[in-house]
Amino acid sequence: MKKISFYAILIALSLIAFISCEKEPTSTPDNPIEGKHFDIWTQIGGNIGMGTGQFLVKSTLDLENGEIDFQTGVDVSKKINVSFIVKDKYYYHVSETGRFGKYQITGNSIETIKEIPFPTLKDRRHAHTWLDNKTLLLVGSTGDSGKILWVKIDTEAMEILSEGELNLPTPPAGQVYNTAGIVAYRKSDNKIIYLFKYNKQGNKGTEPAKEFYAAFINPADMAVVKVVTENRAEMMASTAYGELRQNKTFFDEKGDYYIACNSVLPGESTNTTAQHGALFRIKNSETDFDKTYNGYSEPRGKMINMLYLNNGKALIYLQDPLHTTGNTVWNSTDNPYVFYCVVLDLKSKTFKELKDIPHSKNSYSQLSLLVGKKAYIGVNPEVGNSKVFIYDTTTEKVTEGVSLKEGFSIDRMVLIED
Amino acid sequence: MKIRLFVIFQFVIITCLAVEKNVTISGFIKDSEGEAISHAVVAFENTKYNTYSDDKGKYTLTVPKGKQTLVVSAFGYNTIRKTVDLSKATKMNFVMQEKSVSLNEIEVLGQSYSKQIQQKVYTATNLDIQPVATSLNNLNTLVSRASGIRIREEGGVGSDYNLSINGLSGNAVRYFIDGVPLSVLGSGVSLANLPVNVVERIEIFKGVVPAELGEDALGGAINIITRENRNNYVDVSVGAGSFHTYKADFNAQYVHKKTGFTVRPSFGINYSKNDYLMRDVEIWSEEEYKYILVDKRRFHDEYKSAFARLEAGFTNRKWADMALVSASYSTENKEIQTGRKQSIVIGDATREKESLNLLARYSKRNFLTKNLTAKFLLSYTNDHTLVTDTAFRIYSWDGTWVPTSFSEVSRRGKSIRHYIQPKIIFRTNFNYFIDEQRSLNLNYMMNKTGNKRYDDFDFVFVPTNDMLDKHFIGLTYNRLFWRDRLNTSFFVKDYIFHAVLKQKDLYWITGINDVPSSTTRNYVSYGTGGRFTFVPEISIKASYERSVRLPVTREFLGNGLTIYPNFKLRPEIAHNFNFGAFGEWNIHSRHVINYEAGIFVRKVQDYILRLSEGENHSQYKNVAAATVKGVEGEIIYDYNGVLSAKINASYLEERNKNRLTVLNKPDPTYNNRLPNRPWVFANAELSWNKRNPLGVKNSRLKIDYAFRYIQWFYLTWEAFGIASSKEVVPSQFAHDAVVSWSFAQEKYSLSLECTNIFDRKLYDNYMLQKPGRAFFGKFRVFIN
Repeated sequence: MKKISFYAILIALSLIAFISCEKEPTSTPDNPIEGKHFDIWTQIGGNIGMGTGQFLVKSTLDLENGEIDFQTGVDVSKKINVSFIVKDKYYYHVSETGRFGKYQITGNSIETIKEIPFPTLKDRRHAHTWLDNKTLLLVGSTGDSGKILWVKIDTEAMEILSEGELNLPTPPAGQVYNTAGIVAYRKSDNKIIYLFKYNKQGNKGTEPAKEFYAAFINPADMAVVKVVTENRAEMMASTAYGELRQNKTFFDEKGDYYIACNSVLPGESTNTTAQHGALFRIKNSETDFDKTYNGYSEPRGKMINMLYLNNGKALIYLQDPLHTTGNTVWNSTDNPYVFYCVVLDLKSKTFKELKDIPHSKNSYSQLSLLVGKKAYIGVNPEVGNSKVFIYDTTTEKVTEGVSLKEGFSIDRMVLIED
Repeated sequence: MKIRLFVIFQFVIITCLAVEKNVTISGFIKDSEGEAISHAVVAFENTKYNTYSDDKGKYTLTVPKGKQTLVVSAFGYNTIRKTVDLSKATKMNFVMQEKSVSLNEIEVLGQSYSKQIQQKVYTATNLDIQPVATSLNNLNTLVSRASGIRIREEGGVGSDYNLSINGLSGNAVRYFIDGVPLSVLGSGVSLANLPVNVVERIEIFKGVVPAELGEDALGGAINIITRENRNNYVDVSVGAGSFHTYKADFNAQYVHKKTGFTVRPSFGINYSKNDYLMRDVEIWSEEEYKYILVDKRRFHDEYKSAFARLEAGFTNRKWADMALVSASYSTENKEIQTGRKQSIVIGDATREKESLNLLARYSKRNFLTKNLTAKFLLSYTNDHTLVTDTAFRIYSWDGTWVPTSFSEVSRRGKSIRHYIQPKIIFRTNFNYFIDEQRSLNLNYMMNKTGNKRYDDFDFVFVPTNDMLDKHFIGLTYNRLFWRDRLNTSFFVKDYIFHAVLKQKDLYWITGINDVPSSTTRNYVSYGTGGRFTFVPEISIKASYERSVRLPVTREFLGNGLTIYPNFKLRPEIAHNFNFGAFGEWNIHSRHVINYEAGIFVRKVQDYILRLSEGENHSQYKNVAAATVKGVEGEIIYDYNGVLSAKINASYLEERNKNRLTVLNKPDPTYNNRLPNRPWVFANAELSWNKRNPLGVKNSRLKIDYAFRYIQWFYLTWEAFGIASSKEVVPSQFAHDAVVSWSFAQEKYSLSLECTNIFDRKLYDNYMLQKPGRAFFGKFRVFIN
């Protein structure tokens, strides 16, 4: 009996071990990056020589272990820079040469899938949203910011479907439109939401009102059906570059549209970069701001970018020199490590700072992405190498992930199909 | 090591002992009016022994004892030949008679200047222009063939270019004309369009720059010396070539011998459509629905420039060696063709420059006291640049365009932007000979530049009026030892920088809110140099300068369109070291080899470089440290003035020395070679002269061939990224040839030049194509 029991236990243990081993490989169906990989972007030498800023991309399957060295990265400088749109396995990019291009980064090179003429909008300075799986809408201002133009592109056929001008309210005298604004497509009621504001026209213009606007647009004919005003904050968190490099808005599961906003700090009229944030929303199917809601009403903390964590919470990337360094120097060259992360509960409006993540530099790029229940957060800290931290949305624990070789910083991080 | 030291010691001893068998001949060379003649060549015929008279006309030459023929020659004077028998130290003075000028003689004298420059303590090269003026299309061509020089052009005639001297380029290199900044003639005047006939020679100073040039320079200086002689002449040339290129130069002088009244008119024009074939450029094909590669004629690249100057006054008077006033006018109209990349095609924007200069200069030897030479110069320049950028279009290489929503150059709204930069320069220079071995030079220069901007189209643009003052004070002490075998120089320079800033726009980019609206700063630099001659075949020289270069107007105030101002810009500081050897070896009376080799180190801090700010915009910024090390060498062989060959080569190591980035993080590119810079390049030239070819009397046929090689280099940092994913600027092999035939003792000359003989695709910059095979014919008349 004892013998039988012993063998039975041995067989059972072996079976368990075998089954466990079978589940070990990472490419299981529930592996959230199945068929995908991460592309880590860095820029080197941007401060040496005209036009020599060099963009390198290193692909990896693992953001949790090891070290990334860009010596064997792909040099993509000849084709694109970090102001790209990524979908499925392609990068899309408006170049300064007046082209809209579709590219794929493979093992050792960047391949041009297709480039088409794109004269309407400038590179870098446009907002974008996907109207369906293949239709991309780009929105931006004319060179003199006197009009807001839009272009629809079929990214499969790589052709411009249509283009035109948004019939927005004309800015008051001495004012012009913002450069890009922010645009989003709301599927639930088939509406495009375009967030915009007015700017002073050169140095001779008049100061705009401390407010911004949301236009509700029919995607079919791009007619503006309604424009509403939001004056609880001065501006959206992006007016010039859309969401090309970082997310300023998101939709939650209910289809509510959350918008990061900022206002110049009281008493800082000459230093307009000194701002504090707010988080507003437009509820699903509604065509006005939810005036009862401000998810972040703290007196300090400038909204830089956001990442929705799919659990009623959002990762917010904030800037505040006073909070991080104890001084009030807002120039991010002189005082760079002033950015920090908090997890904000959208419902209770409470937040918790992720203090295990060091303060970082970088106010221009989204260094966070969500894969399953893990948020990968790139950090370029003052001390030590740049590193990816992993925030587990279930346990709310932070662990350290992959490091970059000394000297390199993370300029962008994306998850992309193979 | 011990053996090496012993050999060197032996060599020095033997050399010194050999000198003991020699004697010294010295004296003064003057003209018929008793005025000293400087730069006269004093040489013993068919020997290696020669020298030049100094500013006081004094010469000293050490030669072996014995009977020999002494030859004294100088520009504009009859050559003197005299047989002398030297057994002891001898003093011998010469009086030279003036004569008509011929171009042949200029050539002989030109060589003497080259040798004189070589004898100085600084690393420098002299390029004689007049002997090759007949066949020379523009000055850049000749300068780019000098050792250690690279000129990177963006296109054809009149295109923007960047000249580097031993690796340092852009504003690290200063340009002078007769010792004052070339910018006095206007921002549109450059080496590329200055009339060739006006120029006598060009001095290139590498690294260390003499204090008497009186401006801050970091990596070197180009000093253009205009023609000065005592005779009347008229020099006219006209030329035409490929791509609708036309040029004409006129230069003349009238001197009234009795009164010394002198008039010098000069005039030059350049025109080119630059419609050369662009190979494999991309255009959009609607039929094929893709970008296709085609060959298309370049368009919208017309270039026009004109320069006129009238100089009048008195020369060679008792009260003044030179007292001249001049008025000059220059204009340059350029269609802007391309941006930073070949695929950015511009079809409407233009740039126009117009400058008016009034200048007075005075010089006098024995000024107030004996042995004191004084020079004064006062100049006022009104420089006006107009950039018209009013087209909302994107052009294609086939000349078609599509409407867009932003302008071509600024990529913002439409603008017709004016930049007016009035410039006042005052320079004074005192040179005092303490005795025959020692001299002291004091130089002061003030450069006051304004920067007024306004716009005819963009009504919201706020006009500004900024001002920059720079003061340069330089003191140099020269000392000769051991009968000129050791030449030493010490100098100190002081720079004062004063700025008044009024523009407030784009404050987050310009930093105007971070600096006072009026600021004054002071900087000091210093240096030394020495040359020691063992024997005429072997001399060595070394020099060092701690250089300071203040930001120039363009760097500090921007260009108001594509270059943002940077009011926080600091001066560049550099440690420049040069060491070299040179000499001339007369193998036989008809075979002469001249060689020069050098090593150099430039350690630059707060390097100012133009950084891309995206789109077409850029800004000059201090980017910490870089080191340039290199070697260069040149050998020139001459066979009796009939055949000459020259070869030079340079190797550069330009490395980033920023251990930390601006954010105090380790810089991964530390000690990496700087990208987008050529680092191996070479030139070869072959020249053949034939007198009276095909029986045509008093004529001369000259055939010149030049080859230029530049090794390929990476556009981006070479150490990062998989090699196959990186872009390179490919190796360049350029072949040029010129045939020139002069008649009637050089009175009439014809030349035909062919550049890029094998019609290769040439790039100095990434994908910015230069012209293919091109021909240029030129006819010159020189009457005196």
